[in-house]
Amino acid sequence: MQQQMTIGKKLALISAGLIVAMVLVGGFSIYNLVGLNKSTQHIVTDPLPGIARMAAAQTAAMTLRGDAWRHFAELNPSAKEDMERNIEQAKARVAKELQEYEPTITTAEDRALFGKLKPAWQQFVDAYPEALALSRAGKTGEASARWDANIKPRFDAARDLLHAEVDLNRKNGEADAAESQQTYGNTLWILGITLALCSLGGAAVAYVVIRGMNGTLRQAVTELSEGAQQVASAASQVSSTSLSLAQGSSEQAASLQETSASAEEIGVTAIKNTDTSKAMVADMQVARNIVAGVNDAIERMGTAVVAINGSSDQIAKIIKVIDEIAFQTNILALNAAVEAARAGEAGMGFAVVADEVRNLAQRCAQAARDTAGLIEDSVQKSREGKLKVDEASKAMQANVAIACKIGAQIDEVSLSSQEQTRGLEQIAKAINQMEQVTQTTAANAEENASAAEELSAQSETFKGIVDRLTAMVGGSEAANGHTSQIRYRASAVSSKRPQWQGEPSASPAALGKAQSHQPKSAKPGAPVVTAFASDKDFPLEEQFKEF
Amino acid sequence: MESTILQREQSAALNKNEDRGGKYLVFQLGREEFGIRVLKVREIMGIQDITAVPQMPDYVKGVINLRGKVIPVMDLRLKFGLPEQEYTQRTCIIVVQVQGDAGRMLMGIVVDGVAEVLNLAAAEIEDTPDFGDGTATPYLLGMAKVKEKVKILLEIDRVLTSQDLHGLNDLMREVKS
Repeated sequence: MQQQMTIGKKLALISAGLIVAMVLVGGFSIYNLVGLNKSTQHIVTDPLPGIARMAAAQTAAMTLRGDAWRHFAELNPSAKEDMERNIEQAKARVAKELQEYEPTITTAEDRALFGKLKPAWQQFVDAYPEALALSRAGKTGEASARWDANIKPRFDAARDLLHAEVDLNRKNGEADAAESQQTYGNTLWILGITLALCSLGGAAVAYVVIRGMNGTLRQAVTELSEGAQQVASAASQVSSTSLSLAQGSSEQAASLQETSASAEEIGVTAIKNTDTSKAMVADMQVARNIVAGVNDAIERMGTAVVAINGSSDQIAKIIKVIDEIAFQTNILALNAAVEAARAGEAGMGFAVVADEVRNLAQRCAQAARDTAGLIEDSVQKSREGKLKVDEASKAMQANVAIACKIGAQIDEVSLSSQEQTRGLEQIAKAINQMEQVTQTTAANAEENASAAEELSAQSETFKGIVDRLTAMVGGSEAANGHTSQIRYRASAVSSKRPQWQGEPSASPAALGKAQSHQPKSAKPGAPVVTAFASDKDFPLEEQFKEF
Repeated sequence: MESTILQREQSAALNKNEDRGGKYLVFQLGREEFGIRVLKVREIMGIQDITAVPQMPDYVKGVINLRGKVIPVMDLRLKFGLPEQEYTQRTCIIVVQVQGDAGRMLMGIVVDGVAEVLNLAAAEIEDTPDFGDGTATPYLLGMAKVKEKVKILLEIDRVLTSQDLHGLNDLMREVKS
């Protein structure tokens, strides 16, 4: 919980706690001060004026008594008149004091006492003019006796009650004072304890928070220094990667140009193919016509062969007839020979003739047989020829079908070639786009390299800041430990990657290129911020920002 | 009856060498050529429609009408035990005059084909060789040697046994009556 709270929150919390404590202490003090003030005010408004008035009334009463006594003793009537005036003044004074005192009565005890006092005084006031009249008449002794006998107890009672009033008021005042004292003492104690507690608590919380903060900061500094180092190494990596990327991009651009040239050649070939296939389509049409003509010729030949067959059959029939005639002739000749033989000597010549006839018949038959054989052979051959012609016709028809198929395929090839040409145009466009992209990539890679250089420099600055922070947080000891650690790690990294030495001049070529593309002052500090934003592993990013 | 046959045999044997020379009609039967005396032949004709006659041996094919005369026809292939063959254009009927016991009669024999009329000298004719198993070959007149080939000369009168001829004669009589 404490780890997740920000420093600002912590400080705000501490401040709030302190302020709350302060407000509580202040409120408590004010409350007690108000109480004290009230007690004092009470003392001032109630007992003290009461005392004063009662004392004044008492004094006036005493003066009145003294004047009365002197009145008794005086002989001079004018002096007696002066004294009577004084007595009247004193009486008026007492009446005034009593009248003024009455509204200030607060306690029941006081009221009861005052209730007794007022009639007692009135009794005295009612009684004493009698004695004064006696005195004024010169009857001093009677007056004095009357005073002692009748008036003095009333006066004493009134005087005692006045005393009692004064005492009561004093007692009240003393009680109030004691209460004030008590309140003061309590307030002092509580304030002291509260202040001490607040101070101790605040100190403890502040100690804990500052300790935690310090620890967190120390850890942050450590991780920050590691981060800086990693950023530096990453920057060098990014730099080298960007360089290789730029190199690769240029190589890619070269291959793309070669590819583009090849694509153009292929396009030319495809166009040639299209033309060739069109010519082939035309030739194929011609071939198809020729084949159709040949097919017609073959069909005509077939009918001719059939006609030949018919003629041959007729010839064969004729020859058969001739053969039959020859056979009959032969039989006739033989019959003649038989008859001649039967005739004996007379038939000798006839036998010769019959023999000749028979020979002729046999020759005729032989010729007929030969011709029949020839005709048979011819018929056979013409039949074979017919078969061959049929086969040729079939083959020719197949040929026509194949020619049609080839024509369709050539059409397809032509279409495909046209599509290929279109596709190649698209490929050329794509290659152009790719070239542009590659160039952009190369430019970006160089910008990356420059950004990496910037990052490296910023990480160096960062390291300085980390050192200062380390000094601020943990003193020289911790700072030394961290820096040594950093150096150790830096040496480890540098042994792995010789191009990174914690120096911003890791790859001066890239820096030079980057400067040509993007001025160094264009975005100062921007790559560092980007690096932090992208570094998800950094745990105290928020705190550090607030810090 | 036996005595007459013996006499004839003897006379034939006596006259063999002198009488066998002369003209022969040569015909084919199967792969062989046979010869019969021209004087026995009455007529040569192409194959004709033969009217079959019931209850005859298989080699007697039936009868034909030869210019108003009904004569029996015998298939010589079947008579000689050769396999029967379909008649062709070349098949001929040779009408021969047979000397039977009941007198002369005309008869047709079916042969595969007629070749020629051949004049054979007696020197060209040899006797029938003895086949050594005592088989009587009275229907053979001899063997004619012509151009390295042998033609079998038939005694047509004896080719048909007297029994056959009797049967045929009876047939003829029945037909005539």
